[in-house]
Amino acid sequence: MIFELEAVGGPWMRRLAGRRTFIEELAWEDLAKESSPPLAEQARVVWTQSAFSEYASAAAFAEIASALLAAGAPIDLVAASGDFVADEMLHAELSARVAAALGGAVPLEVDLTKLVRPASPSASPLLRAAELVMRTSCIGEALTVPILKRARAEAGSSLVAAVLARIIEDESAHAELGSWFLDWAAPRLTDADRATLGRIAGAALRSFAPVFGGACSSDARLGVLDCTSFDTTFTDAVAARVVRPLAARGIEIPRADLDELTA
Amino acid sequence: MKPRVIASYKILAVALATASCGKATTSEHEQTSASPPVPAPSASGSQATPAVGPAVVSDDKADTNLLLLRAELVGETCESAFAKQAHYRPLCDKEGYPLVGNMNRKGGGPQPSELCADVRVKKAKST
Repeated sequence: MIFELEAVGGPWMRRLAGRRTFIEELAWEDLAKESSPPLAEQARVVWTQSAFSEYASAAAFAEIASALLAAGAPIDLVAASGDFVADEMLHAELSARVAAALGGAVPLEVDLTKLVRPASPSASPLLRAAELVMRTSCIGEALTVPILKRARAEAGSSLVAAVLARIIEDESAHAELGSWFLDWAAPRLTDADRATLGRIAGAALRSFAPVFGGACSSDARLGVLDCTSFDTTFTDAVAARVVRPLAARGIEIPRADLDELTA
Repeated sequence: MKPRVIASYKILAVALATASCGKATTSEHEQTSASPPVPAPSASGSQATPAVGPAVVSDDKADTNLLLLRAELVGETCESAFAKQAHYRPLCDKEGYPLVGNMNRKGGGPQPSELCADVRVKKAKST
Protein backbone atom coordinates (compact mmCIF):
# COMPACT_ATOMS: atom_id res chain seq x y z
CA MET A 1 0.00 0.00 0.00
CA ILE A 2 1.02 3.63 -0.44
CA PHE A 3 1.98 5.27 2.84
CA GLU A 4 -0.31 8.05 3.98
CA LEU A 5 -1.36 9.26 7.41
CA GLU A 6 -4.66 10.49 8.77
CA ALA A 7 -6.14 11.63 12.06
CA VAL A 8 -9.66 11.93 13.44
CA GLY A 9 -9.04 14.97 15.66
CA GLY A 10 -11.44 15.92 18.43
CA PRO A 11 -10.67 14.56 21.91
CA TRP A 12 -7.97 12.27 20.56
CA MET A 13 -5.91 15.07 19.11
CA ARG A 14 -6.55 17.20 22.20
CA ARG A 15 -4.94 14.45 24.30
CA LEU A 16 -1.74 15.27 22.45
CA ALA A 17 -2.09 19.03 22.89
CA GLY A 18 0.82 19.30 25.31
CA ARG A 19 3.12 17.65 22.80
CA ARG A 20 1.70 19.36 19.72
CA THR A 21 1.22 23.02 20.66
CA PHE A 22 4.55 24.09 19.18
CA ILE A 23 3.63 22.58 15.80
CA GLU A 24 1.05 25.29 15.22
CA GLU A 25 3.57 27.95 16.21
CA LEU A 26 6.05 27.01 13.49
CA ALA A 27 6.11 29.12 10.32
CA TRP A 28 5.27 26.34 7.87
CA GLU A 29 4.68 28.76 5.02
CA ASP A 30 8.36 29.82 5.17
CA LEU A 31 9.55 26.47 3.89
CA ALA A 32 8.35 27.08 0.35
CA LYS A 33 10.47 30.26 0.30
CA GLU A 34 13.52 28.45 1.67
CA SER A 35 13.41 25.57 -0.81
CA SER A 36 13.89 25.25 -4.52
CA PRO A 37 14.09 22.33 -6.95
CA PRO A 38 15.82 19.92 -7.31
CA LEU A 39 16.74 19.83 -3.61
CA ALA A 40 13.09 20.27 -2.63
CA GLU A 41 12.26 17.10 -4.57
CA GLN A 42 14.98 15.16 -2.75
CA ALA A 43 13.76 16.59 0.52
CA ARG A 44 10.23 15.38 -0.21
CA VAL A 45 11.60 11.84 -0.57
CA VAL A 46 13.66 12.15 2.61
CA TRP A 47 10.77 13.54 4.68
CA THR A 48 8.26 11.00 3.37
CA GLN A 49 10.74 8.28 4.30
CA SER A 50 11.21 10.00 7.65
CA ALA A 51 7.46 9.91 8.37
CA PHE A 52 7.46 6.18 7.70
CA SER A 53 10.62 5.56 9.77
CA GLU A 54 8.97 7.28 12.71
CA TYR A 55 5.80 5.25 12.17
CA ALA A 56 7.86 2.03 12.20
CA SER A 57 9.68 3.22 15.33
CA ALA A 58 6.31 3.67 17.03
CA ALA A 59 5.54 0.05 16.20
CA ALA A 60 8.92 -0.99 17.59
CA PHE A 61 8.32 0.75 20.93
CA ALA A 62 4.85 -0.77 21.14
CA GLU A 63 6.50 -4.19 20.73
CA ILE A 64 9.14 -3.28 23.29
CA ALA A 65 6.51 -2.21 25.81
CA SER A 66 4.77 -5.59 25.47
CA ALA A 67 8.08 -7.46 25.69
CA LEU A 68 9.14 -5.51 28.80
CA LEU A 69 5.81 -6.35 30.44
CA ALA A 70 6.33 -10.03 29.64
CA ALA A 71 9.87 -9.84 31.06
CA GLY A 72 8.74 -8.25 34.32
CA ALA A 73 10.82 -5.15 33.68
CA PRO A 74 10.60 -2.09 35.96
CA ILE A 75 7.32 -0.25 35.49
CA ASP A 76 8.94 3.09 34.65
CA LEU A 77 10.85 1.53 31.77
CA VAL A 78 7.62 -0.03 30.52
CA ALA A 79 5.77 3.28 30.83
CA ALA A 80 8.54 5.12 29.02
CA SER A 81 8.35 2.65 26.13
CA GLY A 82 4.61 3.21 25.86
CA ASP A 83 5.12 6.96 26.01
CA PHE A 84 7.68 6.77 23.23
CA VAL A 85 4.95 5.47 20.89
CA ALA A 86 3.23 8.85 21.22
CA ASP A 87 6.57 10.63 20.67
CA GLU A 88 7.08 8.72 17.44
CA MET A 89 3.57 9.53 16.26
CA LEU A 90 4.37 13.20 16.81
CA HIS A 91 7.58 12.79 14.82
CA ALA A 92 5.63 11.09 12.03
CA GLU A 93 3.26 14.06 11.95
CA LEU A 94 6.15 16.54 11.99
CA SER A 95 7.85 14.76 9.11
CA ALA A 96 4.56 14.61 7.23
CA ARG A 97 4.06 18.34 7.72
CA VAL A 98 7.50 19.06 6.28
CA ALA A 99 6.79 16.81 3.28
CA ALA A 100 3.45 18.55 2.78
CA ALA A 101 5.04 21.99 3.02
CA LEU A 102 7.54 20.94 0.35
CA GLY A 103 4.74 19.95 -2.04
CA GLY A 104 3.43 16.64 -0.73
CA ALA A 105 4.58 13.10 -0.08
CA VAL A 106 6.13 10.85 -2.70
CA PRO A 107 4.47 7.45 -3.29
CA LEU A 108 6.12 5.18 -0.73
CA GLU A 109 5.14 1.52 -0.92
CA VAL A 110 4.99 -0.03 2.53
CA ASP A 111 3.84 -3.18 4.27
CA LEU A 112 2.25 -2.15 7.55
CA THR A 113 2.02 -5.76 8.67
CA LYS A 114 5.81 -5.96 8.60
CA LEU A 115 7.03 -2.96 10.55
CA VAL A 116 9.21 -4.62 13.16
CA ARG A 117 11.56 -7.54 12.84
CA PRO A 118 10.20 -9.97 15.43
CA ALA A 119 12.32 -11.24 18.31
CA SER A 120 13.38 -14.90 18.29
CA PRO A 121 10.29 -16.90 19.28
CA SER A 122 12.30 -19.50 21.18
CA ALA A 123 14.16 -16.99 23.37
CA SER A 124 13.25 -16.25 26.97
CA PRO A 125 11.00 -13.23 27.63
CA LEU A 126 14.03 -11.31 28.93
CA LEU A 127 16.14 -12.06 25.88
CA ARG A 128 13.25 -11.24 23.56
CA ALA A 129 12.93 -7.85 25.21
CA ALA A 130 16.70 -7.36 25.04
CA GLU A 131 16.72 -8.24 21.34
CA LEU A 132 14.06 -5.64 20.54
CA VAL A 133 15.67 -2.99 22.74
CA MET A 134 19.05 -3.73 21.15
CA ARG A 135 17.83 -3.12 17.61
CA THR A 136 15.65 -0.11 18.30
CA SER A 137 17.23 1.83 21.17
CA CYS A 138 20.87 0.69 21.24
CA ILE A 139 21.28 0.89 17.47
CA GLY A 140 18.45 2.60 15.58
CA GLU A 141 17.84 5.50 17.94
CA ALA A 142 21.47 5.77 19.05
CA LEU A 143 22.61 6.24 15.44
CA THR A 144 19.70 8.46 14.49
CA VAL A 145 20.61 11.17 17.03
CA PRO A 146 23.98 12.20 15.51
CA ILE A 147 22.65 11.90 11.97
CA LEU A 148 19.77 14.22 12.78
CA LYS A 149 22.08 16.61 14.64
CA ARG A 150 24.20 16.85 11.53
CA ALA A 151 21.10 17.37 9.40
CA ARG A 152 19.97 20.12 11.78
CA ALA A 153 23.36 21.87 11.62
CA GLU A 154 23.18 21.88 7.83
CA ALA A 155 19.42 22.45 7.49
CA GLY A 156 19.61 25.95 5.98
CA SER A 157 16.02 26.45 7.11
CA SER A 158 14.81 27.63 10.48
CA LEU A 159 11.68 25.51 10.16
CA VAL A 160 13.52 22.29 9.32
CA ALA A 161 16.03 22.99 12.09
CA ALA A 162 13.20 23.46 14.61
CA VAL A 163 11.53 20.22 13.54
CA LEU A 164 14.80 18.30 13.75
CA ALA A 165 15.58 19.83 17.15
CA ARG A 166 12.32 18.50 18.55
CA ILE A 167 12.85 15.03 17.11
CA ILE A 168 16.44 14.91 18.42
CA GLU A 169 15.30 15.91 21.90
CA ASP A 170 12.97 12.91 22.07
CA GLU A 171 15.22 10.42 20.28
CA SER A 172 18.00 10.98 22.80
CA ALA A 173 15.74 9.60 25.54
CA HIS A 174 14.67 6.76 23.25
CA ALA A 175 18.31 5.79 22.82
CA GLU A 176 18.99 6.07 26.56
CA LEU A 177 16.37 3.44 27.28
CA GLY A 178 18.72 0.86 25.77
CA SER A 179 21.56 1.26 28.24
CA TRP A 180 19.18 1.57 31.21
CA PHE A 181 17.45 -1.66 30.21
CA LEU A 182 20.73 -3.51 29.68
CA ASP A 183 22.03 -2.31 33.05
CA TRP A 184 18.87 -3.51 34.78
CA ALA A 185 18.99 -6.83 32.92
CA ALA A 186 22.75 -7.36 33.42
CA PRO A 187 22.55 -9.69 36.45
CA ARG A 188 19.90 -11.76 34.67
CA LEU A 189 21.78 -12.21 31.37
CA THR A 190 24.19 -15.09 30.82
CA ASP A 191 27.41 -14.93 28.79
CA ALA A 192 25.59 -16.86 26.08
CA ASP A 193 22.83 -14.23 26.10
CA ARG A 194 25.43 -11.48 25.72
CA ALA A 195 27.03 -13.31 22.81
CA THR A 196 23.62 -13.66 21.18
CA LEU A 197 22.96 -9.96 21.65
CA GLY A 198 26.33 -9.16 20.08
CA ARG A 199 25.41 -11.15 17.00
CA ILE A 200 21.99 -9.47 16.85
CA ALA A 201 23.64 -6.06 17.05
CA GLY A 202 26.11 -7.06 14.33
CA ALA A 203 23.35 -8.20 12.00
CA ALA A 204 21.40 -4.99 12.62
CA LEU A 205 24.45 -2.88 11.83
CA ARG A 206 25.26 -4.94 8.76
CA SER A 207 21.80 -4.21 7.37
CA PHE A 208 22.89 -0.59 6.95
CA ALA A 209 25.59 -1.54 4.45
CA PRO A 210 23.45 -0.60 1.39
CA VAL A 211 23.18 2.91 2.79
CA PHE A 212 26.83 3.48 1.91
CA GLY A 213 28.05 4.00 -1.62
CA GLY A 214 26.24 5.18 -4.71
CA ALA A 215 25.52 8.69 -5.86
CA CYS A 216 24.42 11.30 -3.38
CA SER A 217 23.00 14.75 -3.23
CA SER A 218 25.76 17.32 -3.57
CA ASP A 219 23.76 19.66 -1.41
CA ALA A 220 23.07 19.24 2.30
CA ARG A 221 20.02 21.23 3.32
CA LEU A 222 16.37 20.86 4.28
CA GLY A 223 17.15 17.70 6.25
CA VAL A 224 19.02 16.08 3.34
CA LEU A 225 22.68 15.14 3.88
CA ASP A 226 25.42 14.73 1.30
CA CYS A 227 27.44 11.52 1.24
CA THR A 228 30.46 12.81 3.12
CA SER A 229 28.40 14.31 5.92
CA PHE A 230 26.29 11.19 6.26
CA ASP A 231 29.02 8.56 5.98
CA THR A 232 31.47 10.17 8.39
CA THR A 233 28.78 10.93 10.96
CA PHE A 234 27.42 7.40 10.70
CA THR A 235 30.74 5.57 11.02
CA ASP A 236 31.84 7.77 13.94
CA ALA A 237 28.52 7.13 15.66
CA VAL A 238 28.77 3.37 15.22
CA ALA A 239 32.02 3.38 17.18
CA ALA A 240 31.11 5.94 19.81
CA ARG A 241 27.44 5.28 20.39
CA VAL A 242 27.06 1.56 19.68
CA VAL A 243 30.28 -0.46 19.78
CA ARG A 244 31.89 1.11 22.86
CA PRO A 245 28.76 1.33 25.08
CA LEU A 246 27.89 -2.29 24.30
CA ALA A 247 31.46 -3.46 24.89
CA ALA A 248 31.36 -1.76 28.29
CA ARG A 249 28.45 -4.06 29.08
CA GLY A 250 30.19 -7.21 27.90
CA ILE A 251 28.46 -7.30 24.53
CA GLU A 252 30.94 -7.65 21.68
CA ILE A 253 29.89 -7.10 18.08
CA PRO A 254 31.59 -9.57 15.71
CA ARG A 255 34.42 -7.86 13.82
CA ALA A 256 33.22 -9.30 10.52
CA ASP A 257 29.90 -7.48 10.87
CA LEU A 258 31.64 -4.15 11.41
CA ASP A 259 33.96 -4.75 8.49
CA GLU A 260 31.08 -5.63 6.19
CA LEU A 261 29.25 -2.47 7.14
CA THR A 262 31.72 -0.15 5.45
CA ALA A 263 33.38 -2.56 3.00
CA MET B 1 -24.54 6.77 22.98
CA LYS B 2 -25.34 7.38 19.33
CA PRO B 3 -22.90 6.15 16.68
CA ARG B 4 -20.65 8.86 15.28
CA VAL B 5 -19.84 9.61 11.70
CA ILE B 6 -16.06 9.82 11.78
CA ALA B 7 -14.47 11.91 9.06
CA SER B 8 -10.72 11.66 9.33
CA TYR B 9 -8.38 14.12 7.65
CA LYS B 10 -5.07 13.56 5.93
CA ILE B 11 -1.84 14.33 7.72
CA LEU B 12 0.29 12.95 4.88
CA ALA B 13 -0.93 12.65 1.32
CA VAL B 14 0.83 11.84 -1.94
CA ALA B 15 1.28 14.95 -4.06
CA LEU B 16 0.00 13.73 -7.44
CA ALA B 17 -3.03 12.05 -5.92
CA THR B 18 -4.09 15.16 -4.08
CA ALA B 19 -3.29 17.64 -6.80
CA SER B 20 -4.57 15.87 -9.86
CA CYS B 21 -6.87 13.07 -8.87
CA GLY B 22 -9.16 14.83 -6.50
CA LYS B 23 -8.37 12.79 -3.41
CA ALA B 24 -9.86 14.68 -0.53
CA THR B 25 -7.55 16.12 2.07
CA THR B 26 -8.75 19.25 3.77
CA SER B 27 -12.32 18.60 2.84
CA GLU B 28 -12.26 15.57 5.08
CA HIS B 29 -11.19 17.61 8.05
CA GLU B 30 -13.39 17.10 11.03
CA GLN B 31 -14.88 20.29 12.38
CA THR B 32 -14.21 19.36 15.99
CA SER B 33 -10.51 18.83 15.42
CA ALA B 34 -8.12 20.60 17.77
CA SER B 35 -5.74 21.12 14.88
CA PRO B 36 -6.14 22.96 11.59
CA PRO B 37 -5.78 20.75 8.54
CA VAL B 38 -2.56 20.42 6.66
CA PRO B 39 -2.87 22.51 3.50
CA ALA B 40 -3.45 20.31 0.47
CA PRO B 41 -0.06 19.85 -1.14
CA SER B 42 0.40 20.70 -4.80
CA ALA B 43 2.61 18.79 -7.18
CA SER B 44 5.36 20.89 -8.69
CA GLY B 45 3.38 24.05 -8.43
CA SER B 46 0.30 22.72 -10.22
CA GLN B 47 -2.79 24.74 -9.55
CA ALA B 48 -6.40 23.79 -9.05
CA THR B 49 -8.54 23.89 -12.18
CA PRO B 50 -10.06 27.34 -12.51
CA ALA B 51 -13.82 27.53 -12.23
CA VAL B 52 -14.11 29.17 -15.66
CA GLY B 53 -11.78 27.85 -18.35
CA PRO B 54 -10.80 29.15 -21.76
CA ALA B 55 -13.35 29.13 -24.52
CA VAL B 56 -13.88 25.66 -25.97
CA VAL B 57 -12.86 25.23 -29.60
CA SER B 58 -14.79 22.73 -31.69
CA ASP B 59 -12.85 19.78 -33.19
CA ASP B 60 -13.15 21.02 -36.75
CA LYS B 61 -11.35 24.22 -35.78
CA ALA B 62 -8.80 22.71 -33.39
CA ASP B 63 -5.11 22.14 -34.09
CA THR B 64 -4.57 18.58 -35.38
CA ASN B 65 -1.58 18.06 -33.11
CA LEU B 66 -3.69 18.98 -30.10
CA LEU B 67 -6.37 16.55 -31.18
CA LEU B 68 -3.76 13.79 -31.43
CA LEU B 69 -2.48 14.69 -27.99
CA ARG B 70 -5.99 14.57 -26.59
CA ALA B 71 -6.49 11.13 -28.11
CA GLU B 72 -3.32 9.98 -26.39
CA LEU B 73 -4.45 11.37 -23.11
CA VAL B 74 -7.97 9.99 -23.23
CA GLY B 75 -6.82 6.63 -21.90
CA GLU B 76 -4.93 8.23 -19.05
CA THR B 77 -6.78 7.78 -15.78
CA CYS B 78 -5.71 9.05 -12.39
CA GLU B 79 -4.67 5.49 -11.55
CA SER B 80 -2.46 5.12 -14.62
CA ALA B 81 -0.92 8.54 -14.09
CA PHE B 82 -0.26 7.60 -10.47
CA ALA B 83 1.29 4.29 -11.51
CA LYS B 84 3.72 6.12 -13.79
CA GLN B 85 4.96 8.30 -10.95
CA ALA B 86 8.26 7.17 -9.42
CA HIS B 87 7.56 4.87 -6.48
CA TYR B 88 9.79 4.35 -3.49
CA ARG B 89 10.25 1.79 -0.77
CA PRO B 90 11.67 2.19 2.69
CA LEU B 91 15.21 0.95 3.23
CA CYS B 92 14.88 -2.60 4.43
CA ASP B 93 16.91 -5.52 5.72
CA LYS B 94 17.31 -8.79 3.82
CA GLU B 95 13.91 -10.05 5.02
CA GLY B 96 12.18 -6.83 4.03
CA TYR B 97 11.78 -5.28 7.50
CA PRO B 98 12.40 -1.53 7.53
CA LEU B 99 15.79 -0.51 8.90
CA VAL B 100 15.60 0.71 12.48
CA GLY B 101 15.87 4.42 13.22
CA ASN B 102 15.44 7.46 11.05
CA MET B 103 18.58 7.54 8.96
CA ASN B 104 17.40 7.77 5.39
CA ARG B 105 18.82 11.25 4.93
CA LYS B 106 20.80 10.86 1.73
CA GLY B 107 19.24 12.80 -1.07
CA GLY B 108 20.69 10.83 -3.95
CA GLY B 109 21.99 7.40 -4.78
CA PRO B 110 19.99 4.38 -5.83
CA GLN B 111 16.30 4.58 -5.11
CA PRO B 112 15.28 2.56 -2.07
CA SER B 113 12.96 0.59 -4.34
CA GLU B 114 15.98 -0.49 -6.37
CA LEU B 115 17.84 -1.52 -3.24
CA CYS B 116 14.99 -3.54 -1.82
CA ALA B 117 14.13 -5.07 -5.18
CA ASP B 118 17.76 -6.12 -5.46
CA VAL B 119 17.66 -7.63 -1.99
CA ARG B 120 14.54 -9.59 -2.86
CA VAL B 121 16.04 -10.90 -6.10
CA LYS B 122 19.20 -12.00 -4.31
CA LYS B 123 17.14 -13.66 -1.57
CA ALA B 124 14.97 -15.47 -4.12
CA LYS B 125 18.10 -16.76 -5.90
CA SER B 126 19.63 -17.99 -2.66
CA THR B 127 16.56 -20.03 -1.67
